[in-house]
Amino acid sequence: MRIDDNSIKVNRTTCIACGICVDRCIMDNLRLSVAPCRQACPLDMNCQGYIRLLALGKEEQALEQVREFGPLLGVIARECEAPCESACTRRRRDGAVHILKLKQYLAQAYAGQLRAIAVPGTPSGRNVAVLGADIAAMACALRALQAGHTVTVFTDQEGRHEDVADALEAAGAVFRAEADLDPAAHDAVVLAGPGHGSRLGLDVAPGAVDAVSHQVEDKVFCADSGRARKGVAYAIAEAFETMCSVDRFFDGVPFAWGRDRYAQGGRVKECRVDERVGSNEPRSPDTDPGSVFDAATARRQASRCFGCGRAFERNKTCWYCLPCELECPQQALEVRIPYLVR
Amino acid sequence: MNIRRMETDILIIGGGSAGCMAAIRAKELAPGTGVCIWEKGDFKYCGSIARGMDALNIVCIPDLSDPDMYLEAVQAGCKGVVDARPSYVMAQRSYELLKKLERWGVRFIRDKAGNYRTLQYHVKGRFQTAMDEPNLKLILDRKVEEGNVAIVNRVMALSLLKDGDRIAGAIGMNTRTGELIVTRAKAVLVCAGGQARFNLPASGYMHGTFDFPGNSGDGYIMALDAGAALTGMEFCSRTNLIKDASIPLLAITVTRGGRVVDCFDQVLMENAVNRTDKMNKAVDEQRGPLRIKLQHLPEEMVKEIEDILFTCERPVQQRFFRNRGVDFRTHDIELWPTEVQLCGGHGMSGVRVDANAWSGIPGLYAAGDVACVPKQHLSGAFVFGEVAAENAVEYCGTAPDPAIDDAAVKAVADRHAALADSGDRDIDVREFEYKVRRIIGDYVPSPKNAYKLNRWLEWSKVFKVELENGVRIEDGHDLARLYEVQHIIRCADCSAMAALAREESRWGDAHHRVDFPETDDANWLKHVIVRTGDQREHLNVSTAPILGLNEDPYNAN
Repeated sequence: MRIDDNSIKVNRTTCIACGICVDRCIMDNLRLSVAPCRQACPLDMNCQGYIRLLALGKEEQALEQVREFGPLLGVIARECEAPCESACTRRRRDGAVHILKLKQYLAQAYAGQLRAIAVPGTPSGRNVAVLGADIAAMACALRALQAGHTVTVFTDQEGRHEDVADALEAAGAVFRAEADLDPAAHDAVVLAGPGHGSRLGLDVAPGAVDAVSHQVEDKVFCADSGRARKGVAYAIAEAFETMCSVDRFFDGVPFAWGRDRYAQGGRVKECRVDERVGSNEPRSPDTDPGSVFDAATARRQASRCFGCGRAFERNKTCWYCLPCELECPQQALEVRIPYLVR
Repeated sequence: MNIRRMETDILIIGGGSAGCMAAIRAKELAPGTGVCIWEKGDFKYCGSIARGMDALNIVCIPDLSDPDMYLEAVQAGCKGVVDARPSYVMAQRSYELLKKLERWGVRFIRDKAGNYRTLQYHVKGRFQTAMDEPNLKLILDRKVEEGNVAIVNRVMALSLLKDGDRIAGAIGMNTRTGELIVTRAKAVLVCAGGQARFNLPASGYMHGTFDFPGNSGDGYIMALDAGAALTGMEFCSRTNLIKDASIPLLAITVTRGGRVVDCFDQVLMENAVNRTDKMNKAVDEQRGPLRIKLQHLPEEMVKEIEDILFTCERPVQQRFFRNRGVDFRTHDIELWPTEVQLCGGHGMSGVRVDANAWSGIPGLYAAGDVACVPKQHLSGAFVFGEVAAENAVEYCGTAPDPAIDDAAVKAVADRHAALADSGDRDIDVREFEYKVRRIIGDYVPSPKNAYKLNRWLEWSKVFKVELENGVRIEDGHDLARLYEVQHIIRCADCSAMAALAREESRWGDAHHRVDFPETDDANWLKHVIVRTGDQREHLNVSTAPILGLNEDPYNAN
């Protein structure tokens, strides 16, 4: 029968909408309603998560939320058009939360830690070549390192992102001149942009790469299906998706839309998203690119966040078995025994 | 429709106790073998032991008990209807299993002399060995991770695929998106649990069941459709559990000195869970509700019981008792016969397997609650998970790659699309499940008679029509739920058909035919076997003799 009693209680002040409880539920009872900022973000970055943690004064934990972006966070914080702020619920009330500036604050205050985060994963025995020097190339190289592949970046240009390149080099990526590229020596070749195709004698039309597989030829991939030029976050998102495809290619798993984080941890993660509404198009941000926040200002600004996203009980199939409560990093969730049983 | 395709050597359906152990064993024996686990929920805490367990139910500790003693105990418990070899093999390997788990860091309680703490659960012999491990599943999870096993979460298996006589893989669906997934495999291990969602629990809450409610008989029905034999489906076990919460605590409390009493405070059991027949009789004679009394125990024993109950297996009962104001020092614990389940681990319903966990179909193995190794409990799930993996690895070594039957995949995909297309259907899937389970409760469990069982079979036809044409589907979850209800209906069919065939009463409350009230050892000391008939969903019921220690049901050649 339909049961309307809520047995899962979520504390809206402390929930960071990370979705761990949703992942853990063995009865498929929970869903995550995704905050508008996260829905708008091409990188699926949990803005609400780190903002809520900043507001609670838990900066180290806030950093955990953006850890996977490592040295890229600084670039994103500097150059992103911030579609998150355009989507912010508070924008219609008294102005959006200054999400980008909070990101800048994190990127600056923890620059050293973020640089060191590009730690290679468990060695996979695979060897990946990345062609290019722009942010997409850096993002491809970062993901490949995180997946445990051996990475060589081939570029002749002085990149605009020397700090990122340095961090990647420190983590084990090798940088070489484009002329040194021997495709036969690598298990996969990733072109950061279509222009690099000529190096392999391939004519890759800009924006014409298959948006799901990103595959140009057997073992050659290109991180440009047309979205990449819409902005820095889109370019990075497309690079991440391409590397997902590369990992699928390595494991012999069919290509699929890239957000399932297939490459991470060897588990096929499922989309936690309940309903994605709203536009992914960037709009001009309301923020004024002024000075960077200090800790107190950041905390004050962060506490303006309404905390729109949260986990909720969707299917009323709770077995009151507790893993969701146990695994919640914020102790924001409480399992109550359903009323009929209580 | 987009179908995701994968390939592996061994596909394990279900990531619970048996599935984990099978994956670990397969990788231990042959690290190069591809192993993939499909899990309907999320792997980390899935299965019936999400929060650990209080005891390894059957261990033959050398010098204390031996497999022959266990065989005698289980034969008595099953009233003679049990093949000897699987149970014997399980008992033989149980001590080795305990040692292995202990090496992995699972904590077993020992006294100062280093002896394991054993508890009396069976009529004879102390096989139950106390364990105190809230993190049992996490330990298994880590071992599986170390083996580099591919885990696919949120996949519910729908059907096994065959290549001629042998198994070729399986087709399943993502329970969130409804996306279909086909995995080709040389061997398939069905470890999908029993049927925990049979009738309605006494609380009226559909998911307040004893076992993990995701166990909806998927494994039984898949194996049945693939041509395997089900046995003991007429055994509808109903246990006395904590009233409303449906959480077990009988073994933990009574083996430590608790008393089970009836409404006249007459003691039915004390110190050992060896007279559950007396309990059932008391309930039948309206001397219930039964209660467990712990007031006479010393404080440290009550504390120990609390510590175990509130950390292992179902720790949520701490909240339950607090809510209801029950303190074991001053209050009795009220028990109630709750829902009926079909289960190979607690009862004796399941895929008929030999001592190699083999189902008789090349490449298809079954372990855990889905397999009939009667009353094997957790020990059996672990041991037979290992046994299944050993035989599957051996089979993979010689078997060529199978071919996927595209017509079979298309048939499943077409039906899937038809069910998902709601049109003008208006029955809510929750109400549908509620009604199906209520009607099952009315007609299928004991007390049984031919009229009631036939009434269910008539209802079943109505429900199957409604299932195809009447139930509204809104998302992947609803669709998965609809398939689950389908499996519930078909398990009830198997149970009713088997119960109609067994024209006697046996196992007390589990199979009580009021039209054949006596136990008839002369004619019915045998298995009732259910198989798929000529047409899909048409069932054939037959009988098979009980096998001794040197006999196997299937001929490997």
